[in-house]
Amino acid sequence: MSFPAIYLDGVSAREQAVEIGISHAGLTFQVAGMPCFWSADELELIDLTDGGTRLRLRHASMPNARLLVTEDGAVARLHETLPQVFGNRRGGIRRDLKRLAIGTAGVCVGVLVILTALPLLVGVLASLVPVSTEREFGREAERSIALILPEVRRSCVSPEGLEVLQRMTDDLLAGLDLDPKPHVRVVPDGLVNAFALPGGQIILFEGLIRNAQSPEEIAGVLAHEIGHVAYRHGVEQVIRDSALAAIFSIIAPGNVGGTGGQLAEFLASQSYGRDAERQADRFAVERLNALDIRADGMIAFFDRTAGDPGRDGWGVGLLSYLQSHPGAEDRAADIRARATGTRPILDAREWTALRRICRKVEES
Amino acid sequence: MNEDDRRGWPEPVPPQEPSAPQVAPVEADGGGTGNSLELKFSATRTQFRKLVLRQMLMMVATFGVYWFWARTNVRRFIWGHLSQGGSRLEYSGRGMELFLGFLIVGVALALAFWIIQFAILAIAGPQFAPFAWLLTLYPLLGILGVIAIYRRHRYMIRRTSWRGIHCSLSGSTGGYLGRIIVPLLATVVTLGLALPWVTITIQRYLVSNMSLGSERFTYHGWVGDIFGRWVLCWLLMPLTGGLALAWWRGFTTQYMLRQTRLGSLGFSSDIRPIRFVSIYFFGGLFAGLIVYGIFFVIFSIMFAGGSLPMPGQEGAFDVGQLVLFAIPYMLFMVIIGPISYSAYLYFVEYPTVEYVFETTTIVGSMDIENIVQVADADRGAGSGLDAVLGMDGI
Repeated sequence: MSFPAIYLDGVSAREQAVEIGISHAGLTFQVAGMPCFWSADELELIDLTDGGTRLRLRHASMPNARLLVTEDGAVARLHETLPQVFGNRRGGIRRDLKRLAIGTAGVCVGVLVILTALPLLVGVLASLVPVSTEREFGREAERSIALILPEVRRSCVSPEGLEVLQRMTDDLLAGLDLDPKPHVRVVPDGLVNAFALPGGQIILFEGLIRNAQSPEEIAGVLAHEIGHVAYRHGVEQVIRDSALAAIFSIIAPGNVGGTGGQLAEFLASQSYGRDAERQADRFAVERLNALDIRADGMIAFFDRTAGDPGRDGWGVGLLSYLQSHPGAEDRAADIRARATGTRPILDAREWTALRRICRKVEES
Repeated sequence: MNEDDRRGWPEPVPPQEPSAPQVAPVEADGGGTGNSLELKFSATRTQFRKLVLRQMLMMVATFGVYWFWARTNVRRFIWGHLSQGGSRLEYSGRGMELFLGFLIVGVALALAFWIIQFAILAIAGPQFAPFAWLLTLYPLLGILGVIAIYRRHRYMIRRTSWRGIHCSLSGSTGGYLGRIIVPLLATVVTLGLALPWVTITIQRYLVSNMSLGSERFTYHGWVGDIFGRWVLCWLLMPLTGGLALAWWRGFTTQYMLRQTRLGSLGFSSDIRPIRFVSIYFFGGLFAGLIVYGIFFVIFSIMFAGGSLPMPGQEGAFDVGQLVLFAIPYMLFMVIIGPISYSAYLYFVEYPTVEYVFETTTIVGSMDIENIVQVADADRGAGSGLDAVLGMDGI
């Protein structure tokens, strides 16, 4: 049994009416008296339109030639005899899924390679940034912070407190030759926080000192911030965040992946942030150990800030991916496992002087 | 177009609209022994809706990666339902080609942007770097945008065939850029007033370099024909916003079709630009209602469930609340891209294309059987740049 079809030879735009025979082996037809055979295994369905009543076929041996089948009976017979042709058509769901799996795997591998290589690349680039430029980054960052927190422009300068702070800093820096050299100051604000800016400036807030229950807590935080300066995490963050912004704004196709790209960028940035915090923690413990200073203050600080019992469970696990710092419990456990120091860093008189450092304040 | 280009044409055909500019003349019955070709678009909204919904679900499931295959399937659908002289167009592009093109261009551009940022930082210093970056970024994006238009069209044209005969597009990105750069600069300097120069340059380069097998397309447009309309549009833009641009798109599409010829065939277009305005306005409204409706529903659930504190409500987040907030928010971020893309495609882009096909007829006749194959189908990575720059649509 044969069915009418239209044959296009792929050489000219001339349509030729043909009669096709359909079998499990493939299609047979005659063009200008010459017999043609399109084997089933190399037959490809290009498209199926008009509710599946009209189809266009090609064969691998003649990639430009086409057979157009519009007869209902012929389409039904093709479905019955050569069902595999319909399963592998362009735009078909099975073919889509296969290609999609390859594509998704490609994206995942590509992104993983980039994200794995990024810290190495960022480290190399950060080492190329001159310290003078890093200090400029720091000054710019300080100006930005001052827009939100004007108190940053002021410093606590009580002479006794300053002397103790300087001695503590010198102790923690003993034997290190850092460039940029850390410069520590206390800001008269109730925030329980501290941070290191690019260029070596370390800012401790008065709230942190007031809330601390021992001078070792302050020593631990200060050593941690010195760790950020030593590893140049500030300048690394500037470089890394610009790279992540470039990567994730680019890998979002069209506008479809835009918001997903922003989310991925945020998560990746937070992940690198957590790595930097762990690195600074370990630097701090190593410094305290080297000076034989107790780390129990640092442990107590993290124990105190760790979650209450209600914060345990699956929620905490998910939340940990959204944070820029590792969980306080994990940090405390890590420090506890490494700490070996035995002596205090300040005596009672010095600790009192440090706590009173903000009795005198001036514009910095 | 200058006067020399117009010499040798028969009497002009009267314009379709009283106010329309003069069009390139087309012989009513040229070719003598040839065949006339009817243009017909046979797809239905129901068919397209099914396709768009399927694509949307696939894009959601794959965090947007399916976008390349979705775009390919939409093009294949439209090409496959557009027939000339009873023979349908064929689109042979592949999602994987678009995906690879995107990766190649994406990696190159990410690297280039990153290096440029550092160069600017080194030269301008941290204080002036953001300003210097913006001054560099916008002109760069403008140039990349017009290149993306060319490369997207080139990709589509080179993967289009009719009756097994492939279309081709000669020329190069460099050649195109050489022609477009002066009109583009003039447009920036004149605050957009010179845009018709850009429009005509792009249309001329694309159409006059395009061939169907051995038969070459020709373009006869001229800036002077459309400049007056643009001045009106430009003046009205502060009042009408994007709608004036919708009108302009309708008008320039009509103009391009009327100025295009293939051998002795021409295209007659009855596009009413005001219809573009209504499609963009109502289509945009429907698409916006869907997108913001979903936004409203998700955030209402989050408020109602207590996962997001109401304004003025006391108390901070606890972890459970934060997680309950984060999950719907992430869900929203993942679904909103595919939904807005699909809604825009269905309510704006598709009706526009459908309207253009419905209002276009092929005039004149030629012996189409004389058209012969001159090149094999193009293969290789897709343009990529349009995807990187977030240019959606068909």
